[in-house]
Amino acid sequence: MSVLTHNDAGRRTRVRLAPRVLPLFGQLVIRLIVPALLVLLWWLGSQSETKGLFIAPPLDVLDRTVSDFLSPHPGDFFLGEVARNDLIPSLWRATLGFWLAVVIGVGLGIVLGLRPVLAALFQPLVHLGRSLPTPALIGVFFLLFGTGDWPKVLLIAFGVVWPILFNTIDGVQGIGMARAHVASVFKIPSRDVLFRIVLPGAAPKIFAGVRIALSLSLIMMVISELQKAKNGLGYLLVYDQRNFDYPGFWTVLVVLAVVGIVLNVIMIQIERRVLAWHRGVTAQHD
Amino acid sequence: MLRKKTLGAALLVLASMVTACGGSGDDGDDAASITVGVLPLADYSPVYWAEEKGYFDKQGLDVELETLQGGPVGVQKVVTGEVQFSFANSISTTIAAAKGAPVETVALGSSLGPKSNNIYVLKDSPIKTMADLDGKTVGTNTLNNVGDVAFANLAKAEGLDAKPEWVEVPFPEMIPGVQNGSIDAGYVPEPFATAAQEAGLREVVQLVQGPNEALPLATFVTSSQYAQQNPEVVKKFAAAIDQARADMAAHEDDVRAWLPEATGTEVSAAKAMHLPIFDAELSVDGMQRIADALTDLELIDSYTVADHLIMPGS
Amino acid sequence: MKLIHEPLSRRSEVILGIVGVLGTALVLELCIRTHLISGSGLPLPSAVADQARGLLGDNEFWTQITFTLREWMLGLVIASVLGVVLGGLMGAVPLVFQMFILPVELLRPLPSIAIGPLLVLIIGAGMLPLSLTVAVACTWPILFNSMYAAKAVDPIAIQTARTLHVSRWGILAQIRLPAALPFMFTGIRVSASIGLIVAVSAELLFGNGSGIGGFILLASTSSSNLDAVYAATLIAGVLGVLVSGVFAAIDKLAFGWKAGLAQ
Repeated sequence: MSVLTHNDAGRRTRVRLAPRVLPLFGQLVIRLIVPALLVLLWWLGSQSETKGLFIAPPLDVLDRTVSDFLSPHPGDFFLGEVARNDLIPSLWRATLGFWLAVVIGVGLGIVLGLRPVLAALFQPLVHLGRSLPTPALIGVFFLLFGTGDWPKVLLIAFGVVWPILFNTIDGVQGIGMARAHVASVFKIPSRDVLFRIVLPGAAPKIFAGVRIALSLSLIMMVISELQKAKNGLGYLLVYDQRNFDYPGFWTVLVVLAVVGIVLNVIMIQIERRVLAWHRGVTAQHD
Repeated sequence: MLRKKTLGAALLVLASMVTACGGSGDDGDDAASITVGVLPLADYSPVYWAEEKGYFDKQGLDVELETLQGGPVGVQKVVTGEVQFSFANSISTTIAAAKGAPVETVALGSSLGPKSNNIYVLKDSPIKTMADLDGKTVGTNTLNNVGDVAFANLAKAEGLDAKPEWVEVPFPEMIPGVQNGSIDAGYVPEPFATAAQEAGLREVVQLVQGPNEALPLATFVTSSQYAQQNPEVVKKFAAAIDQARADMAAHEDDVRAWLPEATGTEVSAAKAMHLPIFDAELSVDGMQRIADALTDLELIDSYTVADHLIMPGS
Repeated sequence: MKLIHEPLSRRSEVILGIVGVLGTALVLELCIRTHLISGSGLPLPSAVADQARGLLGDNEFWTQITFTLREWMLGLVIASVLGVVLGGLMGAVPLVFQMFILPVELLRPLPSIAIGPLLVLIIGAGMLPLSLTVAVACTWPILFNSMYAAKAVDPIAIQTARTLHVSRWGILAQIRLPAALPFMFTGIRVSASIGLIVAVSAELLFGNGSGIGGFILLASTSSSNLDAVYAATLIAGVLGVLVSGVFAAIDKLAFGWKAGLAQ
């Protein structure tokens, strides 16, 4: 059994649980105490007379999650009805929005990072853009792009591009004048400077920004579906509330948590491979 | 369907989670102090009229009005005991109650008045009839509410198989939304309906006809628990609302002049808009119509309203 | 062709920044007026600026701004205490880490916006559920930064202190804490910006009409004045920029001494 932890350099790694002081069973118990308490608290909450209406019991939620999101038919990729109708479209839009933001964020970030004049021109706008409360923007995107997938993808991209843009500019600018002078002394062609010096040097910060953007894209995905939506996880959150279907509401929460965890794990794997040569990547930067 | 299970341990643990809820504060029948959730729309205005013209005072009720947002909030708040009574539209209430929410309807605010809820399109839109809306994107403020349910009800009665794709759009964005082509059509009630007309949009469907005529939509609810524990207060509240409503039905011009200050409607809109029907009474039949419509539309399983209705004088 | 340029002077940066903002507003204004971007209900910069000026002169609106700020600060404080304490302990004490790592990893991806409505139903309307939503969103960066910070303390310094027979608590107070503080504060700084956005969003999505978000909610559900909505959104954004700036200044002031050290 292994676990996500952090070694002394602050880097996240997977470490085999070595039974140092306590036996393996003891360590299992330790890890499960707090989660068990939380589930107990959850269950107690669901038994309350008035509040219990909104807190679905844990077992019911689990049951409903399985029946809504999973199915025994291989033809459906083992996905249940709700998974096919809502989870997939949500994830699809989030993925599109995310990659759109990555392309624009990194591309624009490099340009702005390399040209201080442009960076100075647009820096305040970047700060402003990332401070805007995105639910308030649903209306603008609706008026411009209507309903359907496109406005949601764009809204997600808009919400998620800022950390990427910000970190890319920061990373590129941080390459340092020393390297720039070295490059010009050796008359290294610009193209090589870009791909061999600038990008690799900025990569850790860019990656940090991309990782923030990934977890942010899950949030934006939900926000984009709270209004003017016909399907999706966020849509379900609203719809289930309208119909007083609180067990359904809780299943969406569970699925959101699961999706988030999976995304995180994928991201860590990718990052480890791409940045294997660079240690000390932290989530410190904004 | 009250949850009767209460664990001592649960109460202990939850003591820290639970904060100020359900302060009903009615000790005895002298002057019961209640909070009522309200929405500043003409349909629910009898509660404002009752407050202003002293109908609540006459019943010995000390009422505090709390403005809530629409949607399911009213039902949620009475269930948690945050307010004792609240406005609620009967469609949402029936769906909630059918799914087990311990909520009871106690009074009628108004019924749907003719021409008051319509669907609009651009003047030169190719959509000309109700059937044309099949598959089109139509905006409504909240799903499972008047817009989509009344439409489906009417379509069924006319034998049409028209199923629009409903999306939630707040009312202020409905008119620009139609104008921009963001949505193919939009549902609005008064006073937005008059505004839509003035903005040059064309009315394509009047929802309040046929089976939707005089549908008892705007109601006031309380929680089953509160009703059980305070039957006198409920009776007095219902009486005050009924009297206010009857008074309003008899003085339409006064109502039109009064609406702007009570609900924030524009003065010109108040004069021109189509009012809801105040000359109506809460009835089991009326509410059952709604339950039956919802059952037909397969939004809820079969449902007998009489078990969840508190009639005045009962 | 020179790819990497000299950085600009501070003054040039400021001037260009202002030019950038005004220029973009001008371009947007022209685009909408000449119907290059067409549609009704779009944010016309001049109209929005007008509304914004009106709102800023309105005492009622300032009450809402204060509500949002108070709500945000409460949430940030809760998150900071929780994040620093739990994160610090998790970083410093392996047993605590093992006990809490599972629930932390499971709860972290949950969007606070999704949990918010439940909090409102359970706790009731008012500032508390909104602040708790903010706290949920803000806890994680602070927690993880505190955890890293507590772990990454220079082991040589600790061992030196141990040979000098400094007590466990002494090590904690005199070595671990000062070393960890800058990194912890970075977490708080990041969370501060996130928190404000979450605060306004929470008010907008499931509040009861208070705060800047509440203003946007009321304006977008009952009135027909979309420009007021845009103006309030803009003000919220500007507020966010100001808050970022304040925290950056505090960071430099209090922890400027760490700037030279490698992380």
